[in-house]
Amino acid sequence: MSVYSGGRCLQVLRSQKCPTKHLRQYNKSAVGVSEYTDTPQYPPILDKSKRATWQRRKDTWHHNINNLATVEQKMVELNMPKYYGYWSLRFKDVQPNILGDDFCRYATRTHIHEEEGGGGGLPMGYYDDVRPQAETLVPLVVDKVEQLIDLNFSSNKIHRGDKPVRATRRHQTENFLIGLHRVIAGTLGSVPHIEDSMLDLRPRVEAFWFLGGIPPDSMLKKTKKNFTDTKEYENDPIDRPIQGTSSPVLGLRVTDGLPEVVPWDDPLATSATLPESVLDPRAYGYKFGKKHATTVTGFWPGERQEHTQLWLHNQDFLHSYKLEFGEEAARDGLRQKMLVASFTQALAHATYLGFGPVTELTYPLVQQSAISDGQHWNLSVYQLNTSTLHSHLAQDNPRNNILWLSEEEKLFEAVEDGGVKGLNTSLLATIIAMYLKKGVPRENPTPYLAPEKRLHQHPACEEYRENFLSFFHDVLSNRPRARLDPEMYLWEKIYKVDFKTRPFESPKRFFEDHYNKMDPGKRRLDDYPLRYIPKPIRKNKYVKFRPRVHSEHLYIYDDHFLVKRHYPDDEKDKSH
Amino acid sequence: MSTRFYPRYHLGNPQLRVFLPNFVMKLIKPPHPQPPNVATFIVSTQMTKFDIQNYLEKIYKVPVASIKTHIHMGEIKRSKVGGYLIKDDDYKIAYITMPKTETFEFPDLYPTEKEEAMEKEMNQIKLLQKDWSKKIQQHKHRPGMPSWFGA
Repeated sequence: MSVYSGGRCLQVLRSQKCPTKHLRQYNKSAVGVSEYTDTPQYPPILDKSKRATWQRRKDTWHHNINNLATVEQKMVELNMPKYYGYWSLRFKDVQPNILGDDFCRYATRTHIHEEEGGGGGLPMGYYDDVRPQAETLVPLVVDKVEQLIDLNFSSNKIHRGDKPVRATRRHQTENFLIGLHRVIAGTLGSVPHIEDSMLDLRPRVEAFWFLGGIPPDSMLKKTKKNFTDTKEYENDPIDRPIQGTSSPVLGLRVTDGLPEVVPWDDPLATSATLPESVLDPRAYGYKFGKKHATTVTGFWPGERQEHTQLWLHNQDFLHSYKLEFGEEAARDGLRQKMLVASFTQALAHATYLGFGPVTELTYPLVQQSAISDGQHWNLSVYQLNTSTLHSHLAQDNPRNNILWLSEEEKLFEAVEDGGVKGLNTSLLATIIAMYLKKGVPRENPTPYLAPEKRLHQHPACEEYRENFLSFFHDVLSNRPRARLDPEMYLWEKIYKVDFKTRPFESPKRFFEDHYNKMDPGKRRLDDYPLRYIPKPIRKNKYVKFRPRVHSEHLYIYDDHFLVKRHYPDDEKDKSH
Repeated sequence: MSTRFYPRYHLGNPQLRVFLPNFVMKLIKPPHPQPPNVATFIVSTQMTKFDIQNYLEKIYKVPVASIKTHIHMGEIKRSKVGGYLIKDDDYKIAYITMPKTETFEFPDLYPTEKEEAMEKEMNQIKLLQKDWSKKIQQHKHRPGMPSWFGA
């Protein structure tokens, strides 16, 4: 791969980056631009207070992200402010907290709708159109399902000791769920959207968002309290980045997204009761960690099947949760798991459709999930109505999300030598109905993405597009950095920062006062030393270093390399 | 459950039972705001989560759902005598989560209005002290002179 591929990129990017400068130097028109208009065009009067300035800066950044053309560019721009990653909340679906109920609902802005009886908690009437067809298909599937249950749960067929070890139990459940999917999808092979679907096994599903309205902690308050400008904002609520993780066993992807369960003007989607305020998440038992803003859905942008028909989850985490907190806490743990998993899945899909933590949805996204350990099943439907939860939107949002969670049902009573006893055909019919529910094509599915939606349509040259794509994959890969983040050791904090007991030691560390002092928290993703281009392979002898990563132009040359020397003459350098 | 030596365990020994633990658990105001069913204690660094749970449940009959502990490093400061650095002892802080039906709020021992009123009184006393020391200066070179003579 060539190190520097072409002045063509140089020309295109130079004009894109500083068009007026280019015009100023090379395009002095004889006809001046008129400065007079009929009515005075005053600029808007801006609020100069600190709070308004900070909000304006945030809004400008969000506006820039909204205007980027592809998902890859948006994700890179979202990660741009932090070279070493965001100090984000680890919001894992398989690690519910005993104190976490209220916080989960606030952090995902979700109302949990649990109905007694009827459809067992699932939205009434959502499956009415597919239920009759599902019930006719149940007899075709019953034999195979019974065989599958017998294979996986009969005690004389599984090779292990008396008590199931955790890994064995997890594998057993996963094998059963994958087998069940194969049986049902095989029977429904003639249904168009199932025939056209893609399957993801154990996909990595993560989503990143900002949550507003969180009270600042004591250290943050100290940074504002001691200065006259910022003293009054000491107790202002702040935004915290949250990294949600979902760990499904499998996801079935289709081309069209599911239709909405309730319209946006329904009271369930606009005025449901939610917690008004929360404490710092660490008070509920959650932990923070440094991580890049990772949003992955199990497929990369550009796939045709961008919506998920059904996610199947494993109930394995509940075993240790029940041991620690008792049987009564089991339902709460399950609720938290489905809430976090569904929101993460929905937000990850939304981000890959061009919406995201700073870009509001234009239509609702619906997710169907089921969580099971083979015998006990809980079904759920989730409608994502709002994806932006930063700043005041965590509390003042006109819309909220909704989770419908069914009661627990058993698929079968027991497995004996004679076979499976008490197969629940009604539950099987509901699961088949979930497969049959057809998606609805939207007229403008990706209003915030360019029509082509793909990075390879970007006007930059091929080398830049390839490098940017691998850069994007690296950032979202969760791989640890080869070089460790700069760290202040405890002894340095005591003897150099808090109490200066070493006056004659030369200041060489990154946090000490010298010309190269750096704050790792403020280092941006594009703040790295550029690679040198050796003279023999340079196309332009004045351009000594490679271009820097940029979210809009993919790669862009640093200004001072182009301005200090003269611009290469486009007419003369025709060798590239 | 105690700072005394425990007898070494060998296979077949009876379950160790400590009837008079000499640990003390101090109930404190949480350093950071906590949910309503969480109580905060400072405990001995030698206590484990099981010790804390047994202490509360067996002696005080307080139901405990979950416990989180961490050892907080003692404050480092300069000595007033020599200016060298000294460090306070580390202490273990335990956040006890009770079932949702139980709530506990640490009482407000220093309400802000009373604090402000006390501060006002102290300032007035300081002003009076200043006036008094000024008045004394008048008769500095005349020891024994009564203060009700003029100027």
